[in-house]
Amino acid sequence: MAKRSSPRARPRAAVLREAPPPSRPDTAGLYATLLSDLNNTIVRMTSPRVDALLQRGSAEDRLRAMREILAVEQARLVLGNAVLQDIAAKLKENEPALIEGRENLEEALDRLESIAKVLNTVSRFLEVIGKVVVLL
Amino acid sequence: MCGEAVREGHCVTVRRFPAVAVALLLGCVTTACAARVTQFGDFAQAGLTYVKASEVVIDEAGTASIRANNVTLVKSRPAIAPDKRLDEINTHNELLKKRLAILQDIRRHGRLLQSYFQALAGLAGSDAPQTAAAAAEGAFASLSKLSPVIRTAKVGAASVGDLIPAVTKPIVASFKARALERELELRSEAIANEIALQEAAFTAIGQVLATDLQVQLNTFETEQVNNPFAADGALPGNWTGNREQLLKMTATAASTGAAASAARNLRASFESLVSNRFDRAALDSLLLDISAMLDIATKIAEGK
Repeated sequence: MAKRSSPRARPRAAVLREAPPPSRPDTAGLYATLLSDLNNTIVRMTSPRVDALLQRGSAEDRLRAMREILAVEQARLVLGNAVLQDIAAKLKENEPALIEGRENLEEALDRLESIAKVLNTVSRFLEVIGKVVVLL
Repeated sequence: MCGEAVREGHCVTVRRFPAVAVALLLGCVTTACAARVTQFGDFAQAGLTYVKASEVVIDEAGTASIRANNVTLVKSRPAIAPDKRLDEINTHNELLKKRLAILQDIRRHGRLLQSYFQALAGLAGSDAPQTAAAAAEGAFASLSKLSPVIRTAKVGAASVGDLIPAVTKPIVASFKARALERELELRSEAIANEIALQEAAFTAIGQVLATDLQVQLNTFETEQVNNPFAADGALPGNWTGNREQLLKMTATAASTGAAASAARNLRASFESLVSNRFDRAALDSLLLDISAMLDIATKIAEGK
C-alpha cells in the first residue's frame, strides 16, 4: 500500500512546498481535494496493517516507507496551511462588516437606553417642580 | 366622559373605541415584537455558545497537529540521514509554527464574531422598554401632583396613568425590534458570508484534526496494543487499558465533523432568522449540534 501511494505523494509534496495560498475558488477546491487525498494517504500508510506488511518486508522497504510518510506529512502541513490561510484571509476581509455591525448595535442600544434616561430625567425634574409648587 | 357614555348607549362603543383599539393594537405589536426579538436573542446566544465551543476545537486541532507530527518524525527518524536531520526538523517546526499562527488568527477572528453576537444579544435582551415604561409612569405621577386635571384624565374608560406605561413599553420595544431588523437588513449578506466561511474553516479543521488523531491512534495501536500482543511473553499491565482507550478514541476521532455540522446548522439557523422562522425547535437543534461539537473537543482534550 505504501508503494502504491508513493508515486502520487512525492511529486505533490515537491510541488506544494512552494505553492502560494489558493486565491481563486477553483484553486481552493483543488487544494482541498489534494489535502483530503493526502490525509487519506497518511492514515493508510501509518495503519497497523501497512506497518505489519512493512515488518515483513526488507529494511530498505521500511526506510523508503518512512521517508514517504515524512514527505506526505510535510505536504499535508504545507497544503493544510495554504487552505486554512486562504479561509483566514477571507475571514479577515469580513471583519470591517462585523465591526460596523457591532458598533451599530451598540449605538442602537445606547439610543434605546437614552429614551429611558430622558424619561427618568423628566420624571425627576417634574418631581422637583412639584415640591416647589407645593411650597409656593 | 364615562358618565356620558353611560347615558348615551350608542356612544359607549364610539367613545371607548380608541382606548380598546389602542390596547389591542399595542398588544399585537408587543406580542409580534417580543417574538421577533426573542428570535434575535436566541440566535445571538447560540452564536456566543458556538464561538466558545469553536475555540476548544481550534486549540485541540493545534495540539493534534503537533502530536501527529511528533509521531511521524519519531517514526521516520531512522530513515533521515544524520546530516539532514536538522534541516528536516527545522522545516517541520516552521510549518507547525505557521499552522498554529493561522489557527490563532481564526481564533482571534472568532472573538470579533463573539463581540458581534454579544452586541446583538445585548440589544435583543435590553430592558429599555420596561425601564422607559417605569420612567414614563414616574413622570406622569409627578405631573399628577402638579395638576388634578391630569390625575383624573381618562382615555375611554382607562385612566391616562394606566395607559402611559402600557403605551411606552411597546413603543420602545418596537424601536428595539426595528433596530434589530435594520441590522439584519444591513448585515445579512456579511453575516451569511461569515457563517459560510466558519463552515469552510471547520470543515477543513475537522478533516485535519481527524487525520492527526488517526495518525496518533495508528501508532498507538501498533506500538501499545498490537505489537505487545503479538510478542512472546506476558502482556504489559496497562495493555487492556490502552486497548480500551484506543477503541474509545477511535470513535471520538471519527466524530470530528461535529464542528462543521454545528457551523452548517448555524448557517441554516441564520437563514431561518432572516425569513422569520427561527423557532424553538430550530434553536434546540442548533444547541444540540454545538453541544456535540464541544463534547467531542473536550473528549479529545481529555484523551477519551
